[in-house]
Amino acid sequence: MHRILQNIILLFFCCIVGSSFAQMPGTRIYTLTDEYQEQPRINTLFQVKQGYILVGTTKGLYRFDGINFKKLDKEKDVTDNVTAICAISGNEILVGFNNGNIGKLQNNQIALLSLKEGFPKVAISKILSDQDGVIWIATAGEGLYYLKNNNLYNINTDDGLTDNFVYDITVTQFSNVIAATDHGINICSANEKNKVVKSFTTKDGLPDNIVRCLFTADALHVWLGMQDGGVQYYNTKLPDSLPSEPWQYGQVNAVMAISSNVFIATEDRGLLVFNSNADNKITTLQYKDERLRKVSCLLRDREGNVWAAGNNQLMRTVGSELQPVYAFKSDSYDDLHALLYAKNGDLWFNKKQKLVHLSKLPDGSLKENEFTINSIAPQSDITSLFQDEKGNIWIGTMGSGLIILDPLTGKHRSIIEDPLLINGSILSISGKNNLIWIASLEGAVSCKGSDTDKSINQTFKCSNYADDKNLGSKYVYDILTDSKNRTWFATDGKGVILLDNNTFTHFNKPGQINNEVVYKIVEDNQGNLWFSTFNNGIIKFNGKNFTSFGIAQGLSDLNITSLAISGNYLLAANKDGIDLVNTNTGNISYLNEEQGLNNINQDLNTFTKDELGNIYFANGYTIYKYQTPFQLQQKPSIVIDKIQLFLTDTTIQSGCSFASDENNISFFYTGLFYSQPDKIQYQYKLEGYEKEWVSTNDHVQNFPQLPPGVYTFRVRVSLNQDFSLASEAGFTFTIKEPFWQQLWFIILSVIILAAIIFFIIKQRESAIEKYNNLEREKIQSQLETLRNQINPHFLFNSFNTLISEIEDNPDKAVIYVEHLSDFYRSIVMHKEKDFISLEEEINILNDYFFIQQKRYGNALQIAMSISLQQQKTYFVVPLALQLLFENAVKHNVVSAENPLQIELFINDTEQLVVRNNIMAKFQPEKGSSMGLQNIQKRYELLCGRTVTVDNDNHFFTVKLPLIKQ
Amino acid sequence: MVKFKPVIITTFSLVTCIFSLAGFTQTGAVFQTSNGKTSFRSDAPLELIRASSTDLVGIIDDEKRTFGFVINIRSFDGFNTALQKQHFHENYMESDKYPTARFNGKIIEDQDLTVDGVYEVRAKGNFTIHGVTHERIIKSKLTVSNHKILVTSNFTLLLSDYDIPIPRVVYQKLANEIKVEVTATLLPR
Repeated sequence: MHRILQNIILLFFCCIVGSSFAQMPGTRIYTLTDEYQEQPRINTLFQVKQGYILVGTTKGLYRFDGINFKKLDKEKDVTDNVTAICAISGNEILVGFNNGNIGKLQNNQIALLSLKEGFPKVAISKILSDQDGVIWIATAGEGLYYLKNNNLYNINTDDGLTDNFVYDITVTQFSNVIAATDHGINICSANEKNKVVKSFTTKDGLPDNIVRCLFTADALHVWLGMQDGGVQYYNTKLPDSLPSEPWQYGQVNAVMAISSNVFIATEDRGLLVFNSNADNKITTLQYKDERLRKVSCLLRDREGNVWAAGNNQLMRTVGSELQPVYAFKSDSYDDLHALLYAKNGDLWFNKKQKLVHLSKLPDGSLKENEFTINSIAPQSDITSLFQDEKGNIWIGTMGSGLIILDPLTGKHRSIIEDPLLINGSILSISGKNNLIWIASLEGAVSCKGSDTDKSINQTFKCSNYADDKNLGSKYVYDILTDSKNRTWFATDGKGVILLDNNTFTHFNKPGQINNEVVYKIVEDNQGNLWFSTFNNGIIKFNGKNFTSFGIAQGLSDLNITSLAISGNYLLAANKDGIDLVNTNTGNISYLNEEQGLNNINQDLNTFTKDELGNIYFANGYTIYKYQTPFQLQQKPSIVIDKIQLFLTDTTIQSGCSFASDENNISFFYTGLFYSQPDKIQYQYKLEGYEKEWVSTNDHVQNFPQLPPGVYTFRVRVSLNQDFSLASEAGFTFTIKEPFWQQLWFIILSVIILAAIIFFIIKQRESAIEKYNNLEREKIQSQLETLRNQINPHFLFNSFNTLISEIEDNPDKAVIYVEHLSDFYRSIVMHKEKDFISLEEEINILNDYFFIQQKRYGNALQIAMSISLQQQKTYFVVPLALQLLFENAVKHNVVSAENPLQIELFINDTEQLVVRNNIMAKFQPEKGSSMGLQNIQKRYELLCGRTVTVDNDNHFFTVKLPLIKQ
Repeated sequence: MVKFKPVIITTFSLVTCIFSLAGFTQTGAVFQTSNGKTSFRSDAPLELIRASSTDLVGIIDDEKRTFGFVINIRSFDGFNTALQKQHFHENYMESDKYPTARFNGKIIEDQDLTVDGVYEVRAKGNFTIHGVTHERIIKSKLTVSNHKILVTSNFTLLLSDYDIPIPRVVYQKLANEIKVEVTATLLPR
């Protein structure tokens, strides 16, 4: 980032008494210093369509916004020394360099143009685009080039050009190009076939062969600025010998003519402003500013300011809008009450009770002539001046009545036709045709002159309105006869009163003019009436409605005495400046300290108008002429300079889309109004995010974490609080929804969610069913077990065994019964459980085995190889082992010869293996498989594991899964 | 310390330099000098600095309307003090780095310089001092008599234009504006 140190020196006009040349009024000097503290020299200036002023310097291209310089980026191969800037079709900007290269400015960056013919080898002095889109390039040593249909052509001395060093070119009518060279000027045109060069040199009557600058005045005429011969106005169609006139200001680097002012930039005598006469001959030197001794280039911006640049300084002048006309020769300007522009171009004003006549000499200068009028008492003052249609000057005084003066003879007399005028105190004089109105502290007086007698001695028919019945107020400040011949009175006490067809109408109702004190009335070109009030701003009356203009509408001050109409502008004076109200749009712009105005004389009668609509007024020691700007920009424009995404520059166009996470956006914008750069204020609004406009003075707005949506960033600029007419810039963009908020994702999510819920419900249903099954199986198992155990056969066997035991060994019988009861208790105890430990199961088995062994003896053998540790670790479904044992005993022949061997062990895959050798009964037991199936089902339901049953005719093997708790 | 080259050798090299620069042909319309007088003065508030040289080498081609002038900066002499001279060469002009000042270009006016008379002409070209080149137009008086051209010219140079730094201490001693006076008689070759 380039940070440009900028110094602004504000230098305001201050007239030095007795000096022949004034400095330019209202100038502001900007000093350009780059980041290395070096001082780039300004070679060229250009204002682009969007409003920026581009400054081409020896150290790069700068963009100037009225306060700061910003160096524009360039690509690596682009040199620094900018010598020419030009806008071609559209918004394209071409930049010429000292080394002959030509670049193009895009996105605020300069890239070299690609020309198949290559670049010139010498400095580019000027680039222009003519009406047909042909680009003309002037070079310092290779003549002229033109770029047509992508081909580059050259016009040099071989084609008849008088010199190859071209300083400047300008386009005239019919796409002729005039080239200023070291050897006169050349009028060039080029069509497909041939190049035509017509030269005009000292031999043809050019005062000086070195023509350094050109300025197209109109279709036929060009101003020439020469190295030694000053400036001349030149007719391109009928070239005639130009007079060689002495010129004392040295080399002319640039020339520019605006209305009757000719601005001349000199090499070492500063900026000169001459007046030119009707024949476009420069006449008097209006002012000379030497603060910039060397002025290299000039620019007139769209507001009418004229810029002069030399070395590293850029000076804004007010251009031709405001011209100092006359400097008071003493401090009597304090006593100025009346200023009058007379029909022959003379100015009249009062110096206390004396009258001063400024007559215009043939050379344009003003000659001062003082009148003393004896009938005006020494302690009195002249308050008002008026020139009637016959040319006589009317002089209103404070306490000494009304005097009429013949300006040609100097003869004068007091008008005493009405008693109110005798020693009256006159506040203003106005009139239309033959009827003169006098506003005074005693009331209003009308004086009708003779139709034939033009002398001051004619008798006036006067009537007065001093009576309360008519006006209601004796203090009349101003009287206006409008275009419909109605008479308006501005009074102190009763506001505005209209006299139409001998009827008086007051306008003091609510919604009209709510002010008792009205100072001045003027009528604009559309017939609207404008009133200035005491502390209530300005009121406009369009014949139907009253519109107020106050601070909110942009007025600088509410207490306004002086009003004047010039073209489409109403001038409202306050002490520190003049507010310019556009009578069509209501837009308000300003002439103030920036333009060198800071001490305006606001007396009632110090604003006077010439026949062209120019206004003369006094500021401090100086009488100024205000020239109505024609088609000039009177309000600031606004440019969005760049957009940043997460504080990084992006090059995107309005209407673009961002991803949902690209939601940190900054907008950089600049309001441009070079006449009042310090008054710039902004309002912005992000449509889609905020509803209200936000006022700010910042040049950047950052919007972090924007939610998805469509937005329009709008920013507008104004010089005051009224933004209703403001220029606006906008940028529309979209932040997309994140994928989780887009429709396809939502639908997908709903489907997945439904599927999950469906699955859970299913799962739960099956779990319930499983539980039910388990319960059923459990009951089944209990039933089975109980059925087996209270199987009469078992009981019978057990009781037989018990009987024999009781007989043989009663002690053992007790043990037997203990085991039997343990066995039944275990069944009852564990029947409800899902799992019991292997240890408990083996205990049940042991009880059962003990009971059975009593019956079978050694014919029933059990081999158990399970450690106590394993017994405690693992769990099985209750009574499974007992059931398997029971099955084994039930299905096999148990005999001493072939004992039934039951093995019980845990295999490698953590299964409890119950294996017995098969000695199948010849007649198998009925309903036998119930118990095994029950075990299988219970395992299935409880833990989803299978019980494997294997019968290989030798061994019957059941593998029970072991559960670890 | 400053080395002194024999001025003659330098002058010779400068002449060849000019010839090669301007590409002059051997015609009767060529005038040259190798002992033109050049002096300058700086009217600073506190101290007047001035020096002069008689080693200006120059050439004018009447036919091609071109010219070239070169001066060896070291040939300037006549300073108020030896210290002033040393400052001039070492601090301001950097004479070892930039040993010459030159001005070559074209003559704007069309007068025939083979005819006796006094002509005011403008010489336009590239002026190089202290390694910095600027385009200049310099007004000169040419007095032609007996096939000799007497060139007299007065002009000013701005130190700031040629990147010649003025230290703050001597700001009062050295003016930004230097007045230069040239007088040279060119003889036909």
